[in-house]
Amino acid sequence: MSERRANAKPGAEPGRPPARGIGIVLGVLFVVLGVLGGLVGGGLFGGFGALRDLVGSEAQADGHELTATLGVFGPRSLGSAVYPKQEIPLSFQHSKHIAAKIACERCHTGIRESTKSADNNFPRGVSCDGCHGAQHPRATGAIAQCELCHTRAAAGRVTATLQAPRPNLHFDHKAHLARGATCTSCHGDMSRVRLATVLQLPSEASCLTCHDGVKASNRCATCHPAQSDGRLLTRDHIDRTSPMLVPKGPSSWGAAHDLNFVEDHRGIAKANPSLCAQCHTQSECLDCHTGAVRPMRIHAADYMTTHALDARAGTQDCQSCHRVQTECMACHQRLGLGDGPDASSGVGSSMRFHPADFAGPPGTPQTHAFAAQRNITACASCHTEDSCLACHATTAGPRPGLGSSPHGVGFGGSVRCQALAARNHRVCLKCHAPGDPRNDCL
Amino acid sequence: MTSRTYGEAYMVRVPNSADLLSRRRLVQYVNLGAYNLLPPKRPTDAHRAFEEGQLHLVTSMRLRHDFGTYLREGEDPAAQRLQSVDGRQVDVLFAYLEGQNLGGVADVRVGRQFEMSGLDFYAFDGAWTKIHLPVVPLAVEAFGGLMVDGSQLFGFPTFETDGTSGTARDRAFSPMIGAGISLDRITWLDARAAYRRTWTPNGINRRATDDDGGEGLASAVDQEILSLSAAARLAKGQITPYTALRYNLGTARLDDVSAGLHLAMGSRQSVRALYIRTIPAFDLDSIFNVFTNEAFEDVRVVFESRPNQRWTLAARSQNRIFRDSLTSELGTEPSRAVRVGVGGGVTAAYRIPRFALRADGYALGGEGGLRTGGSVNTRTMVAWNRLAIDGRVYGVYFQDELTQARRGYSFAVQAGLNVQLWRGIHLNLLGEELITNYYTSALRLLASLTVDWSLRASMQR
Repeated sequence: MSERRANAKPGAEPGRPPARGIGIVLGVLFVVLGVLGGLVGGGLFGGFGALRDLVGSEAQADGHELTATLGVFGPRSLGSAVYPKQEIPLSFQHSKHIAAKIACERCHTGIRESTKSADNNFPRGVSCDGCHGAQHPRATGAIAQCELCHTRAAAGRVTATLQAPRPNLHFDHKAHLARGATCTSCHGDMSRVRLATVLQLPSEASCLTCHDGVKASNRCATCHPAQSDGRLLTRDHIDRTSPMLVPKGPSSWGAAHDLNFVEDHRGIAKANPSLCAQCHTQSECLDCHTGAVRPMRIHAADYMTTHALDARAGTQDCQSCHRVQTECMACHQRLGLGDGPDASSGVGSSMRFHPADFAGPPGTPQTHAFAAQRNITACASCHTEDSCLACHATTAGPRPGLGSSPHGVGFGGSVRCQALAARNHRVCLKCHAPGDPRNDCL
Repeated sequence: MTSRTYGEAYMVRVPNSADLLSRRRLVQYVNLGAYNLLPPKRPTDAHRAFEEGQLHLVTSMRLRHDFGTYLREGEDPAAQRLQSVDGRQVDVLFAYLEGQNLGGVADVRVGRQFEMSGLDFYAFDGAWTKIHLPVVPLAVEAFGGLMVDGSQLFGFPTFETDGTSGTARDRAFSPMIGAGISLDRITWLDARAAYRRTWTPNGINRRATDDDGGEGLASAVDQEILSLSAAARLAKGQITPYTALRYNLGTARLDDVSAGLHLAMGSRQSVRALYIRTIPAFDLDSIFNVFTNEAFEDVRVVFESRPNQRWTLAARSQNRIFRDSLTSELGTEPSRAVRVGVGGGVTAAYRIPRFALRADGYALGGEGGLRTGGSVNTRTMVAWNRLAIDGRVYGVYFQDELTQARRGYSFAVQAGLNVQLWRGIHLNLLGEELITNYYTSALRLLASLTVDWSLRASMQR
């Protein structure tokens, strides 16, 4: 319900863009292009390696989740967004090896030349053979000792079951070692560790001890994979259940994407918008804030009936997505609310929206004043300035009213009066005649 | 290139009438981005380093059309307003050339862009630049251009300040200038102060029509604001205070204040406290600015805990403070000077690799009336995660404080499917049966097709 338009009336609005027909044609054209593009980009030609290399494709997983119709959460596979779930069916004790003064590089042989996180830096079986005897391959007549390390050897499964997907992280061992980092700088003290798991992989906090913007770059995209526009890649393109890279805990910078973040995100978004921009494009803001589809979790059930209660409680909330004078008023007036010619629920109607003591001639109860002083935005969703001018304009004003002043106590000559008049005297002249001495607060 | 298509159809019942209005709408977003326009400096590099600067071209266009009867013809002001303000089909949401880290010091954007920090919410056609000063940890910004509003051919009204929308005055040209200064390269603190002024000068609006029908507008300021925002990261990220303030020079008051504190108690528990204070603000051309005297305040506290990997639990308190004061002219006394609308809610979420459930319960009181309800949302992934089956149940009870006639309940059951037809192509189907004390039955169906795709071409030397 975010957009309202009227059917065109030829000649009714000369200044209106004559774009209707063009829009239909362009709309259909782009839909066709969109579908064709999706087929091309989505893998129709996936079998043609050469073409795929020339025109790479990447589906944007985030866009699949239609914020309007889905919850803000979904099933999630194990592991984290940075370190996917690992399965290492090995029995190993770093502690014993370190106690035996065995250097890390003796087993992790290629570590000094490793430049990518995707490099397989697990020790090869042959590295173990130097101490444990030739098992990879096993020497003729040697006794098999697979179960010494491989926990599933009895089931006939050894290295083929090791699963260690590459981390979603840029990391260059070679560059770090060249700058003087040691193994313990990132992996911590391994002397008490048995089998290393993702717990021994570096945490963001340990990275930030060096990546502080001085010793090393503190740009998020230095470590986290980014999209073409520099924003972080927050989700796997293929796996819809992959954990998303979202702020949480001490590394959230106040923007922890918790269960209530949709309702409260404006606090941190106002205070630190550049933080949001690390991951979110402007399109993502517009998807919700100028969205074309009703967000059903926010506007649940029969919101058409109940939205008036929320609007009176704080129209400023509504205004984060809806403009009062374009969306709200247009619908209200069309449905007979307000005080236009079509009003069937306005002042004087038996279906009137407001209680009886809300407004009336001078001398009658005027409780509308409290609503207007606190939440004039709600008033403006049905009423134009003309409604106010009818009573509040001065009797000698350009549109004579009843002279009932809407200004608060002590307004005349106040700082606020002067601030308004100095910047925009046009607004004063809506109620006050040009020669009115009350114009002279300046 | 990203393309996204929304198609939806539903019926709306006109209040106090048996009329049904149908809405069949097609909305097409087309985002075109050309990124990394500058090549790597060294032939051996795959990418140009961030430090060496980069150029991007980013655009977003929206096309829309309603094929239904919802927007019927009419002679009333609403029909005129709809045609004049939102009667368009093509919106250029943004389209700009962006330079990042040019010369190692400058970020630049030229074209249609928008600012959406919460303190500022506007779009303009012009230029923005940010210079990162080399010695001191500061960056300075300057920006300016013409404001975008709903009266323009490819404009859109969402970012337009209320006050003059839909009036003759709205068609005036409004230049905007602004400047800002922010902390830069400080890891534990972000802070920014900014100034913006929008005005309608007579020189370029000689043909504009004023509200009274007269031709030509006297020069005046539409908006002039100062804003300050700051966010700190203390105790290794466990304590994060943040605040944002906006001072409206036109109305001489702070009209938007928010202050928050996030406490991360380890990785599993967190508390967020948030205070919000806002006063409605309009274009300075609007008399609505002189009516509004009271702020609307909100105090929120949220506690969240993750006892294990599967469960997340949250409790929320939300309290709204409403103030009424003596009206100066009429001398009407409010029945109570301060009222507090107490509210809160609880949420539980359960997630395993192929199933998720979220249950919410809430109640809100105060201005407007009582609203209380609950919902349960589930999603189950099947067929190699290509098919998502959604189920939802909502229940709401409400009591309008103004009239006994508006109190009742609504209960809705939804079932939906999200089918991954192909990589990047998703079909959403949703059916909802709604029962209220007004409707015995209200079936609603929604289908939407989203097509997200991109082409990436590169040339390696």
